[in-house]
Amino acid sequence: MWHPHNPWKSTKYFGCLPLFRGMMAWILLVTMLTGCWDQREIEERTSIVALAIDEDPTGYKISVQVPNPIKIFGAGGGGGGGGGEEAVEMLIGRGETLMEAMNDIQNQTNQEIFLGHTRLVLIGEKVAKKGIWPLIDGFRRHPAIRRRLWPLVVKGEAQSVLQVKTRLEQIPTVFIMDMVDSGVRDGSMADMTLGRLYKALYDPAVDPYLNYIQAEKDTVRWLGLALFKKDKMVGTLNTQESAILLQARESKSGDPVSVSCPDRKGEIVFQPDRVKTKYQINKTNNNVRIQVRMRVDGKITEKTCPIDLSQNGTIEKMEKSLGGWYERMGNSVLRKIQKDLKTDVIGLGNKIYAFHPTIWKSLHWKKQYPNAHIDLKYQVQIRRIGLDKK
Amino acid sequence: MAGNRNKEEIRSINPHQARAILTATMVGVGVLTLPRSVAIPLKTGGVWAVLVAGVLNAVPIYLITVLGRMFPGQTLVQYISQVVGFKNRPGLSKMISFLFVLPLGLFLLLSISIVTRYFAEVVKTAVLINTPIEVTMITLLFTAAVVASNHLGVIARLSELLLLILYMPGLLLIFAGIQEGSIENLMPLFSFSGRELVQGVLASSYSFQGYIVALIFMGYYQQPKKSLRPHMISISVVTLGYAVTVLVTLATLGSFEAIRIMWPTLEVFKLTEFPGDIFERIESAVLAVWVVAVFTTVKNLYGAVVDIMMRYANCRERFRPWISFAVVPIAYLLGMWPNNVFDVFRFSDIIGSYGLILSFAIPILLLLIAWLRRLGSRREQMQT
Repeated sequence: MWHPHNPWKSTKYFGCLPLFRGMMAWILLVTMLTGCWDQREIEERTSIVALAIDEDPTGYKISVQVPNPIKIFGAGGGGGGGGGEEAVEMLIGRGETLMEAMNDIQNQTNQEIFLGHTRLVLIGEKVAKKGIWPLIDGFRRHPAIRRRLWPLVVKGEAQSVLQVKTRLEQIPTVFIMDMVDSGVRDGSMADMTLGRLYKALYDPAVDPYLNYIQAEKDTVRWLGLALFKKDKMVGTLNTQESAILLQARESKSGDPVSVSCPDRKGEIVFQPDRVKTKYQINKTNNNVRIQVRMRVDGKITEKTCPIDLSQNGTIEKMEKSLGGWYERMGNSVLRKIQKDLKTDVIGLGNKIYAFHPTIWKSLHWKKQYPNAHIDLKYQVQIRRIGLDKK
Repeated sequence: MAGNRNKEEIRSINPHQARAILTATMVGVGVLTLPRSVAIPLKTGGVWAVLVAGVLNAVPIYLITVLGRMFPGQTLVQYISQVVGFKNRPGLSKMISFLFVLPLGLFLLLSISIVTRYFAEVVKTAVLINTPIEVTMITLLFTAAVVASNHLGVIARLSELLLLILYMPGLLLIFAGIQEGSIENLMPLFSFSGRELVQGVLASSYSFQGYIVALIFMGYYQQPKKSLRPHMISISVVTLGYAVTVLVTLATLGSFEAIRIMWPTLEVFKLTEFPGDIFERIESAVLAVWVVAVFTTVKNLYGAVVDIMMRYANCRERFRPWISFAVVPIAYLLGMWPNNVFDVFRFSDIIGSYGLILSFAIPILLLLIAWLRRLGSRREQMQT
């Protein structure tokens, strides 16, 4: 039987439905599947780029930094405000918990606050010392909060960092973010993102540490690392000491080191490039012995004494004295971390857990860590001396 | 020439599509929680559970394939009355076969609803915070119903098409693993007891469920005799994909963190960062792809359910859309049954274990009966 083709009744186009109804169904689906409930234009949001958390009589005082698109150079017509005008706004909320304080901020602004662009979480020293568990929970539950933002501990009040007027960047947050990024890239700062902080908090065999900064007049200075014992900050390491910890934990090179020349007439500056760490763990009658062997490769970037580096044996001498310096430094850091603060920021427990599960099961690491016998050995190798042969 | 076209449709699924159907049905919503469910009993050794579960689930797939090969051109609902029924008592045969068909249909229906609800729950908490879950669920179900209004051959072709999209998140995952992963988080690889391994294997088996639809789809294969290889390839691919998922998740998050997170796999995507900030917050894009993964699962299960009903009631082909849309409210209501996300997890575990039992029980029982009654083509039995 041959029928004239009737497109309106044909089910050729939309499977089981005739043309008109099929079209309606598709239109319905397309409109419903676009998620219009959650559609928000970018100008309908108050994007928070940095959070600063401080103590307050009520609980927490949260200051947030919001970039002001009108005032930023090159954004839209009219030219930036520039001349003394702020490119960022600061809003302050107070509350017993993090989310309450956020809600308090929400009550002061015209648009919905949005945390998806948050790049910095600044924690005031006092808050860090009291413990950060209460904060972490709110962050973890929030879907917009990323894991790749920088939590930083601030010396003094965290809010002070948001008040810094950086000259090189209009938005201070971007400045600090870039600073930490490049610091991590060249191996002098800790690569401690929020995600890794979570990991270290939940892992029984590791303790976390965070970058420690301080606000200055028109910039921010990296002071070193803030060490935590689980969620409470217990101490700090300065920049030189931090290098040791970063070498051991992250195999990062750390800051340059200067030692005095053999003839005591000047200094030699050594820039570490690559660090290799080897761990040897064994257990003898209830005491753990850990040998940490570090090999640091690097170059000499400066020398202010008239020693000839090309002579036989000079480089070896240098390497020895550098190794000695590292070992002294390393041992003092170890004492501080292990004996005074009793926090396992190096992650030795994790090494045992991962590579010696039988030893781990026979230990009570938290109790035994302060008494564990840890050996640090450094071997420095000078690979290059720059463009000057002598 | 409508009549002719229908005849072609009857057995149109080629081996590639057979592979696509099984793969697409298995890979679904379970992947989002798989790392967590294996990390709970096994800590860092989660991968082994997945690998063992892959081998374990290959057994029912093999049995299903053997059973389907015996009755080429027939779905389970058609040949079951031959296996368990009697030639001269069609009424009684229908009654007995109902005992097999009902649990299967029920499992598929429950799976559809729980998968839909599960997915809606993920979307609600992670991306579309203000969108009601009812909307997400109904749109997904309706779309699946539109697809299931078609012949199973059409559904198979769609699976083949959409399977390509499924591989994209896999590449992203590997990328994330290279970026953020560390071997230390994966060690120790062997520090679990046998009992923990069994728990992990069972837990990860739930993520493999869905291949049971082959009982229905095999009736439409062009060459059921050649279907063993694609089926085995599909289970291997899925096992490998799951293993990579678990490995990467544990390597990036660590086992202690993976246990605590609601959807660990999603969290891994949150960690990925593209150089130069081309894409920020890639997890929404991944979830958009994930819609496809879930949708392929739902539509295949859906098509199977509709086909079971059609065959059992001897419906004419033109009633397929009606039956298909009639299932939507039932699936929706079942999906709204759990009260909260923990209930959803619990339900999906129960349904997963039910599916595992069913996947073993139906083919084993039917094969046994068929073997005792010397059914199927003789040559088939010689070959197996």
